Amino acid sequence: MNMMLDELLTIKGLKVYFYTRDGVIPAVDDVSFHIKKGETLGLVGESGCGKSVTSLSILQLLPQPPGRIESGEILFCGEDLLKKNKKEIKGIRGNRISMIFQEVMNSLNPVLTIGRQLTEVIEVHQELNREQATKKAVEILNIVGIPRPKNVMTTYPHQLSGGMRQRVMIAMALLCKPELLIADEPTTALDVTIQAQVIELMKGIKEMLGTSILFISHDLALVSEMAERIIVMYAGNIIEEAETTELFSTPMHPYTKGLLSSIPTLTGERGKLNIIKGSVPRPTDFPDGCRFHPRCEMQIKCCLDKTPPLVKIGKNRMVRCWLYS
Amino acid sequence: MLYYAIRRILLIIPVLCIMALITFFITFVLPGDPVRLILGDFATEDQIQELEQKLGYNKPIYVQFINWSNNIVRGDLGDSLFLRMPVTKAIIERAEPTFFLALGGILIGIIVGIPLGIIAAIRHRTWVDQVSITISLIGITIPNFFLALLLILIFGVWLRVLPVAGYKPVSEVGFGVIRYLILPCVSIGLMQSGSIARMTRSAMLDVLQQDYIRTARAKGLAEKTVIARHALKNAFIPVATVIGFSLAMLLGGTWIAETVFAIPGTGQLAITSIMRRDFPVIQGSMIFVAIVYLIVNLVVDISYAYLNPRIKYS
Amino acid sequence: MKRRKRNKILSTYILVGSVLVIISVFIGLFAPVLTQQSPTKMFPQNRLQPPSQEHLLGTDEFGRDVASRIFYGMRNSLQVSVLVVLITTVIGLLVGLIAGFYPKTDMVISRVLDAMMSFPEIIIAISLAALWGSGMVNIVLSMSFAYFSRMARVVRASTIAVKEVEFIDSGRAAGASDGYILFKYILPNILSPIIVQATMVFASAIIVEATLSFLGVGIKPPEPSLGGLLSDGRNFLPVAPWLVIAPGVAIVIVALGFNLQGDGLRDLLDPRLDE
Repeated sequence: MNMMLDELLTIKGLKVYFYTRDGVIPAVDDVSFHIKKGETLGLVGESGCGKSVTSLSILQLLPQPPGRIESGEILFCGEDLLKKNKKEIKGIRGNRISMIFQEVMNSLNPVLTIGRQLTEVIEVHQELNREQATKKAVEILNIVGIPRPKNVMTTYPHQLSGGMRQRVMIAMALLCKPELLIADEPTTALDVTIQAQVIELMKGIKEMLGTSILFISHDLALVSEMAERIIVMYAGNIIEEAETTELFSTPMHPYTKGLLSSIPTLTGERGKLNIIKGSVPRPTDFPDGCRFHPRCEMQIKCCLDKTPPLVKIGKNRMVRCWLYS
Repeated sequence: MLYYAIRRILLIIPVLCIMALITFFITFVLPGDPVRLILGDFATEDQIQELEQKLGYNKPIYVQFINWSNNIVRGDLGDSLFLRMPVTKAIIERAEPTFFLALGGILIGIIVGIPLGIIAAIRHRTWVDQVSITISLIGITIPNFFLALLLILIFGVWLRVLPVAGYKPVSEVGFGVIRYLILPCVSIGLMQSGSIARMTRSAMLDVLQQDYIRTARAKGLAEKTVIARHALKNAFIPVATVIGFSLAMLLGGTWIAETVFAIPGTGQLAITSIMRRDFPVIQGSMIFVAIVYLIVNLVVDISYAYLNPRIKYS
Repeated sequence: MKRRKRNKILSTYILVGSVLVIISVFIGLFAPVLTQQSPTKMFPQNRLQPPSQEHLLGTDEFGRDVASRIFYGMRNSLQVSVLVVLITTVIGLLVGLIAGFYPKTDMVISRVLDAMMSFPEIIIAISLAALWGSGMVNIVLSMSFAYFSRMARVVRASTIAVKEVEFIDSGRAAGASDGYILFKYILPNILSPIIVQATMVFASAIIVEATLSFLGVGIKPPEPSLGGLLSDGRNFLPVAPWLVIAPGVAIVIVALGFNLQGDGLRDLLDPRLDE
């Protein structure tokens, strides 16, 4: 067992395929990474690269008819989550591992009060009665910075603003003091100012509770504010992994370089906004060889027909590119 | 919420007016002279004139309409041409069986239809789903008079367990009234359950796709709780509206069921009056149906607003 | 894989539905050829015979062959229903297009449509048919009157939905007249819900016609009609159940065929996104 003792979550060789009318889609194609205790790991990539599917697989929240976890292990504190039965997984959801989603209007149930949606989490995982559960819920609403929490307990989601609703989601996720929080694009649907507030909140939570966070986003700049380490995904594969500072100072994979250079800056020279030419390939027709090569400005001959492996370059540094192997 | 309720109630008035207009003119744009019908073929001109005068049929149409509307608002639907009693009285006397029939019908529709729809949605894309869809479809397609006759055949003729016709009021037999009501209610109710099942299934399927269901599962709730607490409450909202709408079919169904099972309700009264050209009763029955339908829809709409927190608290 | 299964199931609906419809139409069209027996000739000595070699579905109380009566009855039902569907579609289109396209007129039209929907359609149909007298023309008219509001609503809703799309505005900007827009732009795009609704109206029409005939206000005897057969056979239920079962099943078959088609078409043309 070469598992490090401070690794909380280890994903090994995860493959998730979708079986659709148009063919088999390899949404997640052999992905491996780990998250340490207390660490925040950023998972970055464009839409469709497989980051959401990866995160949903952890708690087995994937719609399993079209989707199927083909192979792999997801070790949480040494136990393989993929081998657990429904009951065990439900015991973990919302309890030891929590997940929050992009706040679209419908992430909270419109016909139940905020209070009810909070107390039910406590009731299902802890042995408290309704009164005690309500107290706890009010406490957590306070912690996430919701004003007049007792009133909010009896309101309905549509009566709150987007930012408030996301805070409630975070509160719901933290009720049982989870060891891992999976945040899938938590701020994408929010205004920029609210976004900043929510990020601050999450940083505060991290400090206070020591929760590990898997922060998923397409926004590299945003992720860099929270994460100590970042993984970049493209077309179902991990193509680079590095500590945040290193990734920004010395990006290795051409795609990462492209992402970094396309971040608009307030300072610096004015010029054209850099873009990565081309677009993400459709999963049904991935190119041969390196999946990124058609858009890569630095492609060499072997990129065209051989898929590069993920190689370790330094301590905590991995890259999947023929330029480095 | 109150504002919504008041607005809804006020909206009824123009609708009611249009319906009154339609009802009135339907019976007027018709062949068939009621006066001659009453007096028979051998009436003399004088007798005809006299009766026309008495019934007010010789006044211009718009005057008749105004008089008629005035009377209706006061609850006076005129007098039956054949029954020798005010229409209102005739209808009220026969309201009890119709009421029970409708109630029984909708209850059966709900009790059978809603669980069927829920199960179909939960077991989407399995054989259970397919079977329920097919059953609902057949339920909707069978004409209720055919179903009624089949039920009479099975339970009245072959098994001989239930009466096939007739009715005794509650005041006479108390709970025994159910014996007379079972077959007719089932014949109406089965059709209702088909359409209610379809709507429930469709609403549940919609709801189960929503984000908040995924959130509920991510919290570790048992699937039963997710369905019962999170999904159903949301699905009920469109289902409530469909129940209100299927009431229309229900009312039509009672007319037919009463005829087949010889139950002396408002429906049977209406149909017999239509055959006999008893115009005041025809008009009265149609107004009655319209009012009942509007009121029930009003109640359903308001409950819908009550069930849906987005409207209740806005 | 499950996706393909679902499509197979859908097309099963349409397939089965179409088969039933084709059978019914075939019977209706070729009734005189299919059965040598006359539907109206009476042979009192043969009355109330159960199904046999000679009379596939038995005979009724006047000794008439039930099978041929059913065939001719289906023919009459189909004739009535076709006419009803045609009329309701045409009127529904006109009313619906205008209501959808001109919001001011829509306010009035919608109120009237609402009021009409306040009456159970079948009650309207029964009342009108009875008051106007039986006979094919009257039945068709009364049923059309009762059902056109359904089609009008569907047309109106679809028109409103399509109207919002930009290419309408570009057509306007290019100088197209209202009528042109209505017929060349909007109409082709709302065809699918109309077709679905038309099949549903067809199915309803079959059942309503049967109901009217059952009550005695539909097709006039001795012209055979499915509902009329049920009404006649009712009196002999204990002794000759086939008189009731056979026509009833016939009604169900025809109506089911159209309903299946309508359902299948609707699911096909408006797929539920389950990706």
